[in-house]
Amino acid sequence: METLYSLAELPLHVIAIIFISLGIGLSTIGVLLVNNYVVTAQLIENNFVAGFKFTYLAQVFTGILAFVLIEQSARYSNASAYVNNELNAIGYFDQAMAGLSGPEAEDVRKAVRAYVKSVVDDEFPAMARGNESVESSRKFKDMFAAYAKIAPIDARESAIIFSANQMLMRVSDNRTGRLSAASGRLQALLWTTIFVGLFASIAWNWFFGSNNLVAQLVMGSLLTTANVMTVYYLFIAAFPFIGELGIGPEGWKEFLDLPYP
Amino acid sequence: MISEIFNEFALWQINALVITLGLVFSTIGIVVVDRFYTIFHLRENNHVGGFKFEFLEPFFLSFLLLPLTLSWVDYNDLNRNVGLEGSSLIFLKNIAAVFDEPVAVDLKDAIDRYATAVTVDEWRTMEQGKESKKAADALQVLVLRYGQVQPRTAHQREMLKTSASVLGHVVKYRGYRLAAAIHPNGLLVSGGLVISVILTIALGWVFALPTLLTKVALQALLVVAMMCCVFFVLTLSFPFKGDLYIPPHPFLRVLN
Repeated sequence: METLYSLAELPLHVIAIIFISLGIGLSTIGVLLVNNYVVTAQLIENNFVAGFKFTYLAQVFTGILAFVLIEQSARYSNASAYVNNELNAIGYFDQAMAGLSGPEAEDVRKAVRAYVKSVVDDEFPAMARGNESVESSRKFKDMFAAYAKIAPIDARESAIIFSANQMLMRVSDNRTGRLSAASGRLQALLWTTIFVGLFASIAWNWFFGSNNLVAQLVMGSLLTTANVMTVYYLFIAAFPFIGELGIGPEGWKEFLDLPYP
Repeated sequence: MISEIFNEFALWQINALVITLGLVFSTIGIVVVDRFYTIFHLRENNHVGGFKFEFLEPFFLSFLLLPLTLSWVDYNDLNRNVGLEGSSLIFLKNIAAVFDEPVAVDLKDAIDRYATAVTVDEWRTMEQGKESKKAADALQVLVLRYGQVQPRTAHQREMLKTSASVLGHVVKYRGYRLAAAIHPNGLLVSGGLVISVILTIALGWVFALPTLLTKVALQALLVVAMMCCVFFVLTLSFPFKGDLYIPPHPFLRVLN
């Protein structure tokens, strides 16, 4: 998985070049090797049966790709929504604390900033690797501990506390959703299945025969490029916190740059 | 029996086993058919067999996508609901400090007992698709404790209202968690997937290709791709077993 994470960190055009080059290279080398050892006439006899089975494989592979593409795109959108919703809730929570008097409210605001800083410095890099940050969890707990010490002095502050409770629940739920979206538990299994299917679809071309080797190489390359580009789009969507299109902590950094107190 | 395999072997070993079973079934069939029928006999099958093979494509695809979708959604929902339940308990435990000392201690103790019962007992019973009586009793005690709290100040009243709302979330997420554990949707429809795999492999035996090696190799590529899909669905259908089991970490964090 570390290889995939490192690959995802590269610029988009570099990833595309790597994918396409590897795919076309594998397809071309395979065709040339097979044609070197097997007579063309014998390969041509495979065409009819291999064609039917290739159609079957295409349906299976396309079905899996379509399903995973939709799911990963949804995962990416959800991750973005969780990050933004959590930040919004933190912002409203912080404003609510600004409306309270007493040093306890100030402590809460400091704890909020410490949590946001930890998420920017520790948790976003951890999420890029499908993990959460222990330090951010600790800071999150400290925020709660500071909040529990607040005692409202009048009805106005009680109303603020009621609103702050709702915001804090939202922060908690969206944090859980964010970490769940970042989790890479299924990625190894998913990518094994996809790469096996991709290899099968590339290797299948080696069994076809044609009297015109150049035509066969071009056809194989075009088909491989189409397959590889689909897997490429899937790859980009699969890692929501890495790379050029990764969800970053820009909004969270802006929160820290806001004037305080 | 299938579910026990996930606890006995590593994920890659189970994957290799599933693929090997498919390859062995495929290869044995091809070799046996080739022993009894010549290429001239089998060549007559290519046309008709090819069309029938194309019929199996959407058949297999439907039986693949249905359990795959159900298993995937169940697994991800379960993962998220476990996290939400854990974070709700942490929320309750943190704001319990608002109440007076013996009440706060009682509430935290009840939360810890529930988290412990879920981690130690219910995670084990969910593997068998059941809920744990200990965890159910512990949750009932937790709800009763909150029902007995007498808030002394306006602040405590507000916190009690919030706690009641969060406790409702705990009950709700627990319900979702148990529903996914007790009714594993993916496994119920995986039978169709296995049947369509067997039919596809068997139909592949009747085609004629120039050499036995070509026939075995082509079929092997298809079988590997199909068995990887079957393995994927199987793994997602047992969310509490094997290397990809959903761990009770959110509940362990409550206890820490």
